[in-house]
Amino acid sequence: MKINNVDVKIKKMDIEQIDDELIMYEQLSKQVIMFNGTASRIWNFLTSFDETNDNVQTRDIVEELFCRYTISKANLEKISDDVEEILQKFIEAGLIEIS
Amino acid sequence: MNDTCSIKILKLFYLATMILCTLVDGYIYDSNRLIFYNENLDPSDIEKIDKYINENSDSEKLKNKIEAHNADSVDVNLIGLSRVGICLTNGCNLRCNYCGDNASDENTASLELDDILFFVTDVMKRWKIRKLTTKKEDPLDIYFTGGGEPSYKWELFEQTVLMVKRKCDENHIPLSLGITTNGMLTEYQRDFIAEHFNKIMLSFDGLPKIQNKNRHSKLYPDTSSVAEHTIESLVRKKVQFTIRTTIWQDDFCYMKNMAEYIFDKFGESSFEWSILPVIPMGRALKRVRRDHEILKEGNFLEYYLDTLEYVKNTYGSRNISTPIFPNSLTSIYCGALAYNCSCPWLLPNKTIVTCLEACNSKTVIGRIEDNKIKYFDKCCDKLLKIYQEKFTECQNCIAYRFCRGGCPAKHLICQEEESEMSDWECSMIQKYWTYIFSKILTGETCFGWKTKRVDIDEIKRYNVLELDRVDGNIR
Repeated sequence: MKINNVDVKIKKMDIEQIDDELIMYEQLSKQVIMFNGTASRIWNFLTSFDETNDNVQTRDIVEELFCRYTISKANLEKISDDVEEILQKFIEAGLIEIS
Repeated sequence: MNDTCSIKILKLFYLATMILCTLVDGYIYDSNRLIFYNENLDPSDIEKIDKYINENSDSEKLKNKIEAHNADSVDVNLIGLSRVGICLTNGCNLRCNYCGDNASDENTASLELDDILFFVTDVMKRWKIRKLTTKKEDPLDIYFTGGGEPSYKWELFEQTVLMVKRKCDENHIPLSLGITTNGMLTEYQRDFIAEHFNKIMLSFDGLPKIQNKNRHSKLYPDTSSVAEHTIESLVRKKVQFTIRTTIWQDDFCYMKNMAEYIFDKFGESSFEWSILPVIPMGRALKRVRRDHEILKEGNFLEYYLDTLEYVKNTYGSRNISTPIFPNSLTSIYCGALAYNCSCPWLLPNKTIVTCLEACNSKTVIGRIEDNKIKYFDKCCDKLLKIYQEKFTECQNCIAYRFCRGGCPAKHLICQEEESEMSDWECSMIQKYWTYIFSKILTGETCFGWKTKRVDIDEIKRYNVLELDRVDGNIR
């Protein structure tokens, strides 16, 4: 899959869910990562495209959040920045690997 | 009780090492190797035995582990959890004369439903982390007790139970609920508890006159009859439960009468009868301070053994126990040390502590603050401090491998109160193990223990006996 036109691989993790939050565990590094509700929504959205050839754009994720949460159109730009930040954090944590 | 069993501490100096062993009925008990051999063996024979049987005690390693922590500033280390406790309220409808929490009209503080929701949600996350990191999926144990009567504020209690069950159900977490209750319940409340709880402990002091003397109330002139109705209701519902009898030292003589009353009245059913001598804390302290000379004379083991024998002969097999005697090998006895806390407790004042029984010296490891659970990075742990002392101080005791210094909360309370009651409890545990050893050294089995002959050719002639479990599962 691609995110914003870049080929990526999503890391395989053991995952558990509590309410709308995800808890992930990477056995090799023994690392536990906890996502809040929004990060969990974005993660679930991204992983639904894993092993496809789809190219997910930031705006697709924003739209997904827009559908799920009550977000005013005025805030869309801010949301877009937040999504970019979360994607960057996924990359920094090694959850998304750039191929 | 076999009074001929003598315990002597022998200091055997050899190989430049001081080995402290205990003498029981002509046998030396080597607690490092969990073996017994004849007291008349020469040092050279003992040296040979030691050569062929390795020490299986990890005391040094454990000591280093415990002493690696500075009790004044301990790292709070809570990641995965499968057991927690909730103390809903300090309020109670009884005023028991040994109440550890000194329940009174002045302190009826209670948690709010939201506090419990925050705590339980955090605990559920930690249960999931435990599942991810250990692959263990045993049920999340949530226990309600302490502070007061968990069901005292019924609406809060009922809402809490239903909320916890719903949350765990929604998140696919297997749940086991436990409660200790005084049994002052209506039929509806008994039904509710029977339906939702897996572990039920009901306090009843064995005989109506003793129950009403110890566990009194302005609301219930006869607490015994209400508690008995609750027991009868649980028996009718075929629920497994425990009757907990807390007993003053000078009431030990009634133990057999209590057994008669309980087993005659409630018949042959699936309850366990658990007998606990009064712990000198809270309201009990007043009497302990006044009467400790009389109380410390009470020989719990003697009455307990007599009662077991009487029940066995009169009623056949019945489930009777006491939490006072540790009955398995242990590494670190206390699960309430902050660095290794296995069961945090949420208290009515919104703090989270490691142990309910530590009175004014509870180790606070977190609190609910601004609608969030906040665990501290570090805390001061008085329980660890005293446990560090006892872990070393007690290593020559006959019971050391089974209690490793024992309950630090009890030691701490007695130390602060300058009471001798923790020594009393220690002496009971020592008597218990002396009794077991004296039995198994004659070839009998006792409380699940036995000896087996060490089968090593080079030392066969010394008739060395090894401590063993009847079920073969010594660890």
